Amino acid sequence: MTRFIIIALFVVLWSCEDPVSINIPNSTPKLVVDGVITDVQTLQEIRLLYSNDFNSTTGTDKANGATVRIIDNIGQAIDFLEATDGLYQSTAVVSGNYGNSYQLQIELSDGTTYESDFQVLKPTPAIDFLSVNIVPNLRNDDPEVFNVSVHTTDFIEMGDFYRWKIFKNGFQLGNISDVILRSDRLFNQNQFSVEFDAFEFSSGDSCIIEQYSLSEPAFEFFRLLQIQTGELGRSTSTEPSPVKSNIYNINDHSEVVLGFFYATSVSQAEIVVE
Amino acid sequence: MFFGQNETIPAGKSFITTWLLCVIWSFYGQAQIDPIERVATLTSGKRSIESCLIELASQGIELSYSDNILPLRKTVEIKITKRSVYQHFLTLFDDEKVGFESRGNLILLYRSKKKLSKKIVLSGYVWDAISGESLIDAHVWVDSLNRGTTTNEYGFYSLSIRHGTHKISSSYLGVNKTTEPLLFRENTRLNFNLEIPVSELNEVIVSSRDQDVDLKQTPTGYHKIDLNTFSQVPYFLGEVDILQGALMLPGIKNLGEDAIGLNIRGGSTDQNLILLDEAPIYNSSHLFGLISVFNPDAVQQVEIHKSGLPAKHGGRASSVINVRKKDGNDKEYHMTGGIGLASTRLMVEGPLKMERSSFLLSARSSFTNFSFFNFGDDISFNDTRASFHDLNAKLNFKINKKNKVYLSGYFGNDRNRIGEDQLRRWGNNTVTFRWNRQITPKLFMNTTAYFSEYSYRTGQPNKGIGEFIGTASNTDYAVKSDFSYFQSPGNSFDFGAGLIFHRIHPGDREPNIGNETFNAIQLDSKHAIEPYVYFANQQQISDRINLNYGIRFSQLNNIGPGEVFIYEENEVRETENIIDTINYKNNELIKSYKGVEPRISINYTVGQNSSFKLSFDRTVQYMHLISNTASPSPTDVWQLSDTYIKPQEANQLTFGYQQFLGEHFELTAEVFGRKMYEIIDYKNGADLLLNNSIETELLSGDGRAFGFEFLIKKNHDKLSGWISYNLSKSERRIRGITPELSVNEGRYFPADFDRLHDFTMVGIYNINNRWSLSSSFVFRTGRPITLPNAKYEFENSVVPNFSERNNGRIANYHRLDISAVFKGKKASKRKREQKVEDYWTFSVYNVYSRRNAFSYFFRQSEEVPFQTEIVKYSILGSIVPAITYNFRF
Repeated sequence: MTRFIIIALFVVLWSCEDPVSINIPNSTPKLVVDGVITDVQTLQEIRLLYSNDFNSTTGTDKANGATVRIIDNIGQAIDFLEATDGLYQSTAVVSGNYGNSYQLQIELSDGTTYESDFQVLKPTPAIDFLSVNIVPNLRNDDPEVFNVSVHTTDFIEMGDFYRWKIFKNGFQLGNISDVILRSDRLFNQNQFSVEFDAFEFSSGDSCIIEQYSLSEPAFEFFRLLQIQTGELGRSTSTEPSPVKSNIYNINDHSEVVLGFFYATSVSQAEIVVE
Repeated sequence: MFFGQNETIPAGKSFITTWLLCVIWSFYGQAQIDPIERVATLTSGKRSIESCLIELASQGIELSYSDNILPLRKTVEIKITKRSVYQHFLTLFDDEKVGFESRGNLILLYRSKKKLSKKIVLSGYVWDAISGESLIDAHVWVDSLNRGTTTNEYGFYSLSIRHGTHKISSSYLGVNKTTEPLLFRENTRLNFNLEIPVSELNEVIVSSRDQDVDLKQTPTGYHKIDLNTFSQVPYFLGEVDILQGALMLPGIKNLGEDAIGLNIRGGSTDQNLILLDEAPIYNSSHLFGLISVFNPDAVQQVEIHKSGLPAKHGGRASSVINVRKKDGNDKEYHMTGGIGLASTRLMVEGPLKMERSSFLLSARSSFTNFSFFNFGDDISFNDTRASFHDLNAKLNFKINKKNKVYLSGYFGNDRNRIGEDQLRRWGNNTVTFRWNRQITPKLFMNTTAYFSEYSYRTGQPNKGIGEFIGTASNTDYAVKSDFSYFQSPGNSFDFGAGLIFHRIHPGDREPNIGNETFNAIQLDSKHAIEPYVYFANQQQISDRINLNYGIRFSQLNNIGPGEVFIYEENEVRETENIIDTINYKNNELIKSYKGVEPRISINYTVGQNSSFKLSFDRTVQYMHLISNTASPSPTDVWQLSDTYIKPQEANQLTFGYQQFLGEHFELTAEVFGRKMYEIIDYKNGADLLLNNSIETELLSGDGRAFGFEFLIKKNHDKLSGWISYNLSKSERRIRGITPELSVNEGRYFPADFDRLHDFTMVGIYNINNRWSLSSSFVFRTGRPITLPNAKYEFENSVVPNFSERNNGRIANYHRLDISAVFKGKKASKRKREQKVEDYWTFSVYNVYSRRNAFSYFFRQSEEVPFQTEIVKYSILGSIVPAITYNFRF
């Protein structure tokens, strides 16, 4: 933002962004968990990898050969096998169930064991409908661009947390800094809408919106992650901070583990933009 | 006539001391010696008054009295035989109600209502002869007694002197006036009117007397921002700004170019008590900190206390910035104004009733909407427009010689619009009513009632179904009385008391009519009463040692209605740990805090030109700005200390040295150490918006700061300026009961604005009557920044991992600015003799176009997936020329 500041009339003030290189000390790799269980019947996926030095130009190391399983609060277990480098898939097509709580358990190849907090799988309301707005396009020659909005009716109980993923012609848009999150604090039990104004569509594009329910810790995790990957460093930004994971080394709680494991339910809607 | 009225005050019947005429001009016009002052001899020993009077008469002293009114039989003892007739009278009529008066060579003795006084109180005001403005900190000096004083913040002074003939001088900013020798026999009022040049290109020569008062009485950590000098240095967009100017003084820092607020000696931005005509200002910035709310046209004087804080001021932990507005010219009508890239200004002032009352009205508005565009990702949504307006108004009435009242107001307003759908408006409003009264020649009272409010409003005007309005405000209503008792020169006693009522609306968010999406959220208002009393004594212990000690007692009482959540004991304060809620009724006491704040300062003068100073300050703060952004935002709210938020406290010790080097140079060097307690910090990702249990998001810690400050100033006609250097370290420590409630595992870490070196050099050169040049250069160590220590992938995005706060530093900051002032020819209107004065200011900010870093961004590379890049972010990364036109007629 604010790449140029124009002071009306004649004066042009540049606020600028220049690439620089600064020395950042190396760090020891830490386990990163990127895991979710959904209520969709599918091969559930867990990724295990390691952090690396900030300035490193090589890819990150993956955690291979780990034993991974998810257990729930009623004693059922889902086992995972490494499908590709660091990506673990459930051994069968399964889904999580509303109201159950799930825990991720990991034993690395060196025998170190980790587990997550129990995460409750909360339902998400169905999407009522999607709508399309025309917005003026000031940037390029396209005469007009479109924004999509989702309309959903919140559950009666306070404490619902939402996340949406946007797909344009089959491809997911944005990365983690664009994650769209809402808490129902401001609109509990009402029909509400969220306009995805950071994503532009052209006439004829297909748009799929996936709506996810989150637990409060998962919502907080994504909110913090968004802060760390987004607008840091401006006078209006908050301080960068560690993002706490919900996964622990069972023998050493002080070991820093990164990433998160959560459970979610999904509802989906599709529209062709025109 | 260069000094003003010598006023005769008829003997009053009230308890108030009568003031009598003692200065009769005609006598001095003829250079005739008053017979009272003639030297006469009396034989020593115990004698009757009658025999003494006869002896005086035999020496040619013509006396006239009637036998039945004087105690002629009374015996007195004469010890000193040769002295003035007046002094003989003091011995003869000691404790008697006798008066006397000279008529030519004849002395009349008569029965009087009051006893003959040995000590005389000289009091009055010092005014600007041209505008009638009260002059603050003007010196009044008695040559023969080698004693002097300074006027208080209302331009009033009071001095005890010996009876006899004295020359009285007054000086202000190098303008000096001395009376003829005057005979003082009774309490006298003497007002001075000094002709202070209006010119912006003013010569300031500090006299040795001014130096003497400065050395003896100025505490450590004190700066006076003299607008004559400060309006000549270069500013961003040519807009003279007292807070930007203050940054050029040692020990005063900020975060960077678009940051709001000042950090003074290691203090947070909410720890400065910023007063505008005695009312506190809760947000001192327009336009994201680029410009302060103080319109330079309307400001008369700015004082900054970094230490040696007067006991009368309290409520903030780190400093006092006291801004006084002009009263308005009570002799002539004037219009002052200017137009520049940042704003358009117009001020009108003039008498309502000649030399009795005046008005001032000063308005300022941003010249156009400032637009902050983004040509990067999405122009339609990130385009921000900002504008501001402010209005200063003031009225003052001299009701009579002892009473003066003022009414002063400030009304400010900022707006900004982000894209099409977000509108924010915020501003301060203050109204101050002041009443000055001289109760006796030695006792001066100021009573003030003020109202100060800060509020903001946010909305989404064009958002259709999304429409809502958010508001928040904090309001103070206060009354206070300050008394000064001027015991003798160098000795005065200040005392006073006040009562502040605070009301905070932490936030409402209401959907517009017809909007069924949003539920209304209304946070409970918070109320508190803050009473205080203070006493302070300035005491001249010897010719060398001046002591100033004071104490302030304050209290904060949270009162209902309100609810307080009770958290499970020994558990982290989180909403899920709330076990009970206590409801308090109207005006019921919820929580009370007390503060005892001693303030001590000692000046030890060495030789003629230098002094050593030592001061200790303790401060307590009951209001806190809750903001977890790098720089406070207009939509941050203030919170009162309550059940969970403890008052912030600070202790500071300062050692200083001041020396005058010749007429032109003044050097100050100070070392300070400060400890701060109960500083507020925030949990990671704290959610502060519309949060009814804000205590669950807060952390508390302490801070420490040390520093060395050096300032050398040169005051001269051709070349003036200063060099300021500050070596300092300020740190914070947040140590909670769990790692999540601590920052950096509870170790000390550098504060966000910590800068080891801070160097400023300012030069002003007057080429001739029409041209002057000025330049400033600053160098500051880069501020701390939090660097990532690793990166990782999550959902196919790269995430930087931060673990230690403020573990790195951005590059050093330096910048050169220049400006030139060109004065127009002095034109005079044909009919009236008023002069039109005008001048142009040409300024260039950031001459060598350095891209000073504000911070670094750590982000995913756009070209190579899963790789990161570090980007330096500069706010004003280019040269900024500006031109301003100013006029006065």
